[in-house]
Amino acid sequence: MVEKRLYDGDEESSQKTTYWLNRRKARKTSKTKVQVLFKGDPEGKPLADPFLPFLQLLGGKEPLDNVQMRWNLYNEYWAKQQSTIDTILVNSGVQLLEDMKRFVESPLTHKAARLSTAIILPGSNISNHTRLFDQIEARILLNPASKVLRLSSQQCPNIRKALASLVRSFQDLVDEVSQGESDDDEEEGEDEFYETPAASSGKKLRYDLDTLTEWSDGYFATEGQTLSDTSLRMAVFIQDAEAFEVSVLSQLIQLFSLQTAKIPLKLVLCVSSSLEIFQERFPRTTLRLLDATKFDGENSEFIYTQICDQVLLNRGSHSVTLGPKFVLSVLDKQVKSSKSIDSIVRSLKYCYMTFFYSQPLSVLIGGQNRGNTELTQAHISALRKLPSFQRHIEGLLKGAGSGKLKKEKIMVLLEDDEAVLKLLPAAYDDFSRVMNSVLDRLDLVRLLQNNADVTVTPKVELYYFALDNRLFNSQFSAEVIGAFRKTPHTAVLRFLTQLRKLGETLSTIAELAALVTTALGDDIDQLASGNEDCVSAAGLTLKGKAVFRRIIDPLCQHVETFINQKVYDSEKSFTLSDILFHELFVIDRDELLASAFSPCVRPTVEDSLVDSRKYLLCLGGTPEESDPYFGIAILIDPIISELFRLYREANTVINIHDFFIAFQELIPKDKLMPLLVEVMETKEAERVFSKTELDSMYRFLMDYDDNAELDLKWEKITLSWFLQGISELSMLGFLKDGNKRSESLEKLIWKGL
Amino acid sequence: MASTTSSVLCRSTQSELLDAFLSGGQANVAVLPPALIIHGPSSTGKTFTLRHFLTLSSFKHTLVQCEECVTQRLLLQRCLRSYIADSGSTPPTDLDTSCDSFSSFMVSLEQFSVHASYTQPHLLVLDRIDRCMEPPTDLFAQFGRLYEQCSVNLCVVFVYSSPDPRTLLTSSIPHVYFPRYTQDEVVEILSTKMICQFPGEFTITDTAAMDFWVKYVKIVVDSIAAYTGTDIILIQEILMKIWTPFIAPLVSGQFKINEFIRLFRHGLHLFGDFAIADDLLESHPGHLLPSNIPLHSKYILIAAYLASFNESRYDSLFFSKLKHARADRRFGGRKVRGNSKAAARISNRMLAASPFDLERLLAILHAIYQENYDGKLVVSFDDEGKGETETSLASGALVNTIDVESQIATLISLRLIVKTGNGVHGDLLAGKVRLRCNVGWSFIAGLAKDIGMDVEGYILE
Repeated sequence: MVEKRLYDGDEESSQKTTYWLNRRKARKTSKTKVQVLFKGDPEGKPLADPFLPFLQLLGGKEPLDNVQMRWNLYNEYWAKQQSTIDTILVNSGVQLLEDMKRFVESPLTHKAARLSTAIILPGSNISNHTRLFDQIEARILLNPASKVLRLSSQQCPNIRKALASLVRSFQDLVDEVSQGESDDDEEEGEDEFYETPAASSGKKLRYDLDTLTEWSDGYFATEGQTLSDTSLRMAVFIQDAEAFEVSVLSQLIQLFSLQTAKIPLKLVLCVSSSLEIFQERFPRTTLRLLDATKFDGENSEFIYTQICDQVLLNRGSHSVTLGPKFVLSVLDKQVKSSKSIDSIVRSLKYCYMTFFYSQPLSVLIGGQNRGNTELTQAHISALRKLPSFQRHIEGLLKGAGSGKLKKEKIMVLLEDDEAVLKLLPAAYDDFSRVMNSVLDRLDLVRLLQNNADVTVTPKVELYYFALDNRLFNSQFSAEVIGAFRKTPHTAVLRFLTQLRKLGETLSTIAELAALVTTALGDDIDQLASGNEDCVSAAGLTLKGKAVFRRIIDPLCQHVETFINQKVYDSEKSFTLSDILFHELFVIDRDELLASAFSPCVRPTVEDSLVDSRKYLLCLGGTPEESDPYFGIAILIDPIISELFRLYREANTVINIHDFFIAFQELIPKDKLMPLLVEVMETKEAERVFSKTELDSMYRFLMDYDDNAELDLKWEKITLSWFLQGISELSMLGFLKDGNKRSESLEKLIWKGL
Repeated sequence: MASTTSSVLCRSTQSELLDAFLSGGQANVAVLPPALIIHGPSSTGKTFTLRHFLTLSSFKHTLVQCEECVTQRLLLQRCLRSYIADSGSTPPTDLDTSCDSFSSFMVSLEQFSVHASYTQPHLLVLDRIDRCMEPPTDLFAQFGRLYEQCSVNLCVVFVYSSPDPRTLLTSSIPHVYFPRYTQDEVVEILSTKMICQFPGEFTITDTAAMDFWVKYVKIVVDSIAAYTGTDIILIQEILMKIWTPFIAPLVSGQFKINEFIRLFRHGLHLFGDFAIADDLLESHPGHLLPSNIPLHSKYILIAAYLASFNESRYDSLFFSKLKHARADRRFGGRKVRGNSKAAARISNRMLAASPFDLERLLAILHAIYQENYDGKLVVSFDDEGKGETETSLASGALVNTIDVESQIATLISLRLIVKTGNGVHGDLLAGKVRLRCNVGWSFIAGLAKDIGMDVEGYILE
């Protein structure tokens, strides 16, 4: 398609080789391509029921009851997890909330005329903050005499607006009747007045803090209190103190400190970034106005651990086991990009939903047909297509046994549907036994780490390595046991007590504890009793040391055997995928999470600009060939896509005129003009444009004397498209104005970033 | 009014002047000047002396704290409202209190005075008028000429600490100047009242306590005068701040009350940085420890620092993988040009952070991430014990997902990176937006140490 020609212009240029792109040939294929794209793949059929968002899977052959059952199961399972998470979140910051409430209610001792200030350090992850602030506010408001006035940096571009929003939120708080009125005032100028309840004081400016002073004076008079003994508190809650303009916040602090003689004021500053950096920005005189107390609000680590332990690694009946890939993606995101609790919760919810949404076999969760829903032939066939089932058959083929019996057994599984279903409960039992065994050992490893002098690894990380078959029988477990061997006798005794306690809930651990007691019970009792023969004030006596030596080696031996015993009855190394039908019990799709929560922005934007049909005209159904919109869509892509394709081929600095000429060449004028006229005659056009607008457009396109005039009009149309496209590209951040003298554009996006 | 003279220490001259200018505080015989200026450096007892004078005088007066007023309009409103309230008369119902301008204020003032037939002499004190949040230049002239345009019997008293405004420098307005206290005067004033107390369990007679206090004040003033000057408020705060740790050995019984010099020697460290540092929290561990920031944010911050403190022309030297670019770095780094010794001497780190483009930040981020990140995840153990490390899902290269961009946005909201240029309030990706690193070297060094990166290798010295 690329032709090499010699340019026959002036002498100098004639020596240059020029390449011409023959576009006509390339265009021919586009139509058939589009038609192929319109063929949809009917994996699931949407339902008309607005309360049932799930699709009818198996190509629309799934019974309706099953769809309903999947939806119910999803709700049931997720509700259980959600309630666990809510409990964790509510209980997480109780100490901080209580401290904050106490701070606000504490007496107004403004030390050396300084403003009593709480500095909350809620951690760098701002996505967790709103929840924390809401919790704090709710807790403070439990006391009816406390008022909370929240301010954020968006409300406060300058001191007047800051005060206006403060007074406004105060008015909303104390006078619900005036709330509606003040909302109406919002559009008016900022110097509008409020009508205050006290008639004598007349009107006040929006930003007049006297509104607060007068209200509190009125409150004192009604309640018979004074500023020194009042229970009234006004807590000004500055949510993102580091994002404020320094001058605005300084002025606010200065004003508040002056008000301490009139209003029972407490200031709460939330500093999400470094406190040193925060205070360096402020003048010393401002800092001297504050009497600050620090409150640590960073508890996301704690919540994260709790959620991991109680939701991710749950042994409960309403949890779906999460596979190693999923756990790794959560860990990866947590360490690298954000310690956001909401993001974990969202990922979990998404996982649960995708499992029940896309897996028709999810009705079999828990190894039984929940709700006795109908299982069609398609379900059984899907079961047979599961990789684990196929591996199971392969295992049977390779396994021991005489040829005929083996063949019969395999044929039964392949032909008899009931036989396949009968395998399910046993498979689920196998699976839960393995999972419990893994989790028990993790608990034991944690117990060892807690009592030995080693760094405690988060359980979820141990879980990942255990599922990846890299924890048991490993150097790591050997090191942990080795470290435990060197611990003093007190730690070992503590370990044994904790082991027995753990055994109360976990049967396998109970067995281990019983084994240890049987073998070493006497020696342990001797040491635990604190007998003077064995233990003195200085530590173990010689006899004690001998007893301890008798305990520690066999104990470590028992523990090591317990940890390293075979997880699953398989000769191969253990992975979850060895277990039959594990696909029904485990969610392990990290690619879904990545595409839903961490998409690559630039490649996505660039790809969709290059190929707009990923998003446009991609729904099912083939449009009519005579439809002018369809005709246009086949001829050209959206203007921005056409421009972007040119942009990709251009240099860093693009001459605007060249760009425009190239763009104009791309648009097939002869084919597009009649289509544009046709479009103007459609009903959609009449709906969008008024009649006069349509008339003028029509005249513009049709009313011309000669080709030269038409060309001029065409140039105007393409220029307007071009300018629109350029401004869209620049809004997306691809372009910026270049040097003004050279009338050029500059590329902003660097390649490969 | 002799009592003013006696009860305000070290300000007898000023009290006498006030007495003289304001008819001895006797409202019935008063012939007030149209305005009065009380000025002098801050913390020299201007407001205190005036308030004392006013409580003893029989004048009706209004005191407006100008530094509370965000705009001049609010100031005028407060003046009018307080004037009406302090006069004790009832205002007309149609009185306009909006005070859109000074003339409107004057009209309302006159309307009220006529309606209430209020002709008594009244003092309007504009305290700290120089600290009004809007520049009060016009107000000086307008209030100064109020008596010419308005028939209200009002004397405006300006109290300020800035240099004299030109508009008020006329012979018709009397001035009272409050000079700085001398060191001896500060000791005398602060010794009169014991503002800090011994704890309840410590038994001491009042006289002994007072003696101790006087010695304490004297020694504190002597020690820190070089820093505080004779700013009484500042010294008072320091007195209170040092008091508890200073007397701690006394309370614990380590020293006796008469061993003042030994006590001072013991607590000598308190008179240094501890006394004069203005920290928000007296002792706080460095918040936002590097471990609290996600890994990618650490790299982004370091990249932002490098982009801010390295010139872009040296980027290929530090971040390119091309041989010829890196060769220079290996054999001597910066090429010193001609006689630019002065420029070479100043370390880039000492200069202000310069703005950079978002793309440059991303490019540096990719370069340093790839070179330094070893793919280590949280735990780094392996089954063989051969020192292999666990790798994450992605390879060592940084995948530019939305997480990276959202972290940049988070760092901007945390003001660790700041937007500069015309598009500060616009879109992050808009053409003209440039960014600037807003954290110092110590913080970056802490981050680099945490992720095991040799950041100094990337900085031009």
